[in-house]
Amino acid sequence: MANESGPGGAPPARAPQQAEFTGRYLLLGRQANDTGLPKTLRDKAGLTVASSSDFPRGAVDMARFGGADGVYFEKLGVAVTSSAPDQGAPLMGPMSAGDLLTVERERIVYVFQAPRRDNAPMAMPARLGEFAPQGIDNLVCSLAAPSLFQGPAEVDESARTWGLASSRVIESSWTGRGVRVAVLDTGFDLNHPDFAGRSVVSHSFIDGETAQDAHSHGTHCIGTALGPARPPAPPRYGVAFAADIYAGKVLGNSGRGSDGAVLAAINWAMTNGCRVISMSLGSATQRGQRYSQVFETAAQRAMAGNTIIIAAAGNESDRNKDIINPVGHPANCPSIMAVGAVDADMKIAYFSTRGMDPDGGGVDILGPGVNVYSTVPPGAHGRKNGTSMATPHVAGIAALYAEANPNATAREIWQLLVTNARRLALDPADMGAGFVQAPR
Amino acid sequence: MGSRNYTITVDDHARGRLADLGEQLRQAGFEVAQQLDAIGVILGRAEDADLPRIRGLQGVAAIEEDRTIEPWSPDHKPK
Repeated sequence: MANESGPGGAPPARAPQQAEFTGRYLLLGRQANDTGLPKTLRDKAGLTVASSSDFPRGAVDMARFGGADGVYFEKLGVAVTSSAPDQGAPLMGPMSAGDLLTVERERIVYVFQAPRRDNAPMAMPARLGEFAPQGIDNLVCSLAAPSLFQGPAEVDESARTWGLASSRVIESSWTGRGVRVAVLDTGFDLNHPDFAGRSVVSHSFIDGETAQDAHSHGTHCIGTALGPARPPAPPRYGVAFAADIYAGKVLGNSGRGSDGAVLAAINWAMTNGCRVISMSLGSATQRGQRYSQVFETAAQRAMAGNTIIIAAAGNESDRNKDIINPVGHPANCPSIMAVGAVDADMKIAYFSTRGMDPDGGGVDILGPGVNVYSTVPPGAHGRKNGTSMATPHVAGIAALYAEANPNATAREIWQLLVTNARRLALDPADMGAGFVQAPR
Repeated sequence: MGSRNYTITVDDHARGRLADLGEQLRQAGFEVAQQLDAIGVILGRAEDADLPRIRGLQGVAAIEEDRTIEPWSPDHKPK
């Protein structure tokens, strides 16, 4: 093949004008988690395919596939095989259209960089396997978007909300047990029956008001991040149902607060050992406005103290009127994870802000933020829209990762969230790493 | 002259002497409301005229006026 890799398997010295190929093939199954695909490949094409879950911590040996002919990435629904190029075409023969969506040759991919001045060969990545799944993920999206990762055509929320289903919380074996999560908002409906028997630590940072939520925004967010596995009446709507609840009231019953109250509550959450802080609040920014040095430093210190801060990117856009505005304060701080919102069809929410400023200010991840069902006071349930609703989904999932990785630092939890996010067919400035996904 | 609420970040060297810095801030006209040890932040109030002195104190990394914060609710529309 003319387009195979260079001598010794190393890629050529400069980024190519045309695609180059590794000699391997990407087989896109009809759906993710198709456990029958490896068997079909063996029976119909004579290929032995290992499962990515067979490798410790999912670190697939992409060089040798653990001795198999290929590996199947269940979460992506993609197999990578080392069959020779001349086997590629016959491969599709015995495989029916019902088995695979498509077969593609695996491309060599490059980091975008300035042109090199010498002709020295580039070294192969030392740990190719660490990068390959991301490349495949992008490929899958480019091949199948937008249909593959759309939400259900008809949203069935009889048992669980669409947000929990699409973020794979329902499939997760993790609960958040032992992880303290602070939600800084308008407080909490402390007598809500769905939380009977749960450990709740609350504190009001608003003069003259208790932590009881008379607004509803905070109770809705806490319900999403930390609601029960089996509420008295379905659907399930909460993510980290066994995590410890820390409800910090930083917005008064009027819905207003200040930087000072938020900072005091971050300090409180850190002092209480919270590994996750969820903040569905903020203020609008102007394009080109620099992020707050006070909040950025506080977030860096929180991170160093093993606390990740996750904040709503803001609702300042109105895409129905072609108005798109930048990520708000304090989510625009580089060390605070900014969460944008999508609907059940995996379309960007009309109100979701965009990463428009080069110095910080990007959207880092997406969560479910349209028509979100959760708790509201007094003792009731309701639906809300907003990046506010996407944020507690991500915070709850961060708690699942924290439980699954008890020794992970806050920065490592951040990495787990973004590297496991599902790419969507959206503008990267709206999407960040993609749509949040829970650990299995 | 106006008096406003401010948030102050102290630099890493001053985090271990937050109480001392708080006293220096008071002498410079900053009415200290809270000292947040875990994140190295001091909250308080000051007259506009005192800001240059406060900014000049060793250990003050940044000072910002307290912003109004709101929930990102669906009612929060762009201007």
